[in-house]
Amino acid sequence: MTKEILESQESKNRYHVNLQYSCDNLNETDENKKRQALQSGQDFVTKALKDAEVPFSIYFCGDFHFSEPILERVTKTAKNGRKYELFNSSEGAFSYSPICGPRNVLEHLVRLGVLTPKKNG
Amino acid sequence: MAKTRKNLLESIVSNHFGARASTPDETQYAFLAKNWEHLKSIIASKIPEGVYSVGHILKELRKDYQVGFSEQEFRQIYEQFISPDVSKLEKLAYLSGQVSIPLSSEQVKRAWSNFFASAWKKNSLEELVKSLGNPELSQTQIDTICNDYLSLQAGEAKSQRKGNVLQAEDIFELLKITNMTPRWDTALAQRAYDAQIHLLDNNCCSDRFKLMQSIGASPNPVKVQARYKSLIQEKNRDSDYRAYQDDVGSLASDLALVIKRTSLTFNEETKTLLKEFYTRNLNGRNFPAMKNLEKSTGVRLEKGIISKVYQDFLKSGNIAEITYLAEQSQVPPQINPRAVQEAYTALFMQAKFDSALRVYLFTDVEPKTNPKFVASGLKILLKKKMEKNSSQRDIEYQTLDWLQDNFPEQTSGFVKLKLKNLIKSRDFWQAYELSTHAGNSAPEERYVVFCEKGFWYNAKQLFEAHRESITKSYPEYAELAEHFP
Repeated sequence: MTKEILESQESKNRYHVNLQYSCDNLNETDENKKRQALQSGQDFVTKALKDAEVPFSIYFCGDFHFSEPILERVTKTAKNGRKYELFNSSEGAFSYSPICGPRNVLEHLVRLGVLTPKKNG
Repeated sequence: MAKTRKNLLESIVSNHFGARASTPDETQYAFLAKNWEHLKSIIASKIPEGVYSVGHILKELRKDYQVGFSEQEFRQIYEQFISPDVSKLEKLAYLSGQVSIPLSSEQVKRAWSNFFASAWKKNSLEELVKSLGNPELSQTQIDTICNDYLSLQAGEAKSQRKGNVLQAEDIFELLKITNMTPRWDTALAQRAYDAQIHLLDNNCCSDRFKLMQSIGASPNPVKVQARYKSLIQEKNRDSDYRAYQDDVGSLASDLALVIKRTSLTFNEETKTLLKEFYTRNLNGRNFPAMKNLEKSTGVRLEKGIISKVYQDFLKSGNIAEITYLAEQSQVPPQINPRAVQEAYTALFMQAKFDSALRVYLFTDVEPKTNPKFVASGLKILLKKKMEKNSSQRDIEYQTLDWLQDNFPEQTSGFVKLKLKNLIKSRDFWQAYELSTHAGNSAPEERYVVFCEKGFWYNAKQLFEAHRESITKSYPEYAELAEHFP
């Protein structure tokens, strides 16, 4: 008996992804607008996560020197009910070389098994 | 000592006719012309050194000052170049072209005869033909040149040539220029083919085999299969690493060339060998090159091979490689739960517990491994230092929590020993961190850690519950209980 691991939607829902975006030069209203836009999947990464029905959280960070978003943390709640960390950038936007930018973040999410690979996608 | 007049003249001549000559100006031309009769023997002796610049000067002297070498004198100068040294013959061809004075017919014959005794190549042949005209070779001479080439290829004769070895392209050029057909020794051609087949690849020799096949030599199937085998084995790396994309790419082009040249495809043995190569080397990075290898050889990179590679990656806990390969190949990983259990066993025995946890998170298959394998892995882990990076340590602790859930007995034993070691080395910070992941295990050691960190309430509770064992294991810390606030 074999099973196809990457296709299981039930498994996808148990991941959680934390993403960091810049709030430089944004007032509170702009920040809220940006958050809403991202939550509704308006950039490549959030759209891919929404399409795959993978829950995610948006965090804002000032003094942002990298391409958005930064992959901050990925967890998975295992079948045993415990939450495990699959990836942790530890310092996020303050680290020297975080995983950042839509292409790198998406690529990393595929490597971690969070997103199902799509050729040329 | 003052220079003699001859030395001075030689030095002036060398300025314009030596190896590093400069073009004379008007007054220098005038000087050369005025003293031509004195200087011409010196100039003649200097010409071989500066052959590529003298043509222009000699032309100017003839045009503007009406002095120069006669046809006879030039032919005398040419004699210095006629030898079995191909570079001298090339210079001769250049010089006679520049000064428009041809060699005598006798000199042409001698030049060609020296040429074919030299380390000649296609390019030098073309150069000489431009200046001397086509070589006139007898049938015997062309037969000798061509069959000598085959003897060398067959390893039956030693090259007398100094420098570059004659190549098939040189022979092709000679036959084209002379428009002659040699009487080939076909048996020798076959022996040469058999002797050279182990070298056939994309970098060299293709023309050599084209030539030998045109003579009638045919590929020996056994030797061709041996060549396939050696090409595949050369690219199989000794270490655990998989072949680089470039290595796979060059293997594809080498094999494609041998197939094209010999028209022989893989037999069952070499097919199996190539499939083993796929299995041993395939990954996401080299997948496109592997597909090219499949296309070049016709040996299928079946889904079963990709599944086997997934299982290999699973056994090493390399989930990122599985997802990368899945991304490239579009073959979803179908993983057998039994293979997952095998992966757990392999990873536990190597103390790769974090990889085992990744396998669990990826597959959702609970570990049912024999606890003795977990215990043996934990023994290895006991000797390792804990991660210094805090986020890495968090991953270690979450792995420990997972092990506690699945193998409580073995994990508790490990935690107790690890805590003992940390207490012994007085690393109470790490000991405290570890004790927060220890569950109910190692109460004696946790008591010591709480005492050292000043967590009196926790220490008191532990002492009340485990007074006897704490007193037995750590009597000096047990005495502290009387002083708890």
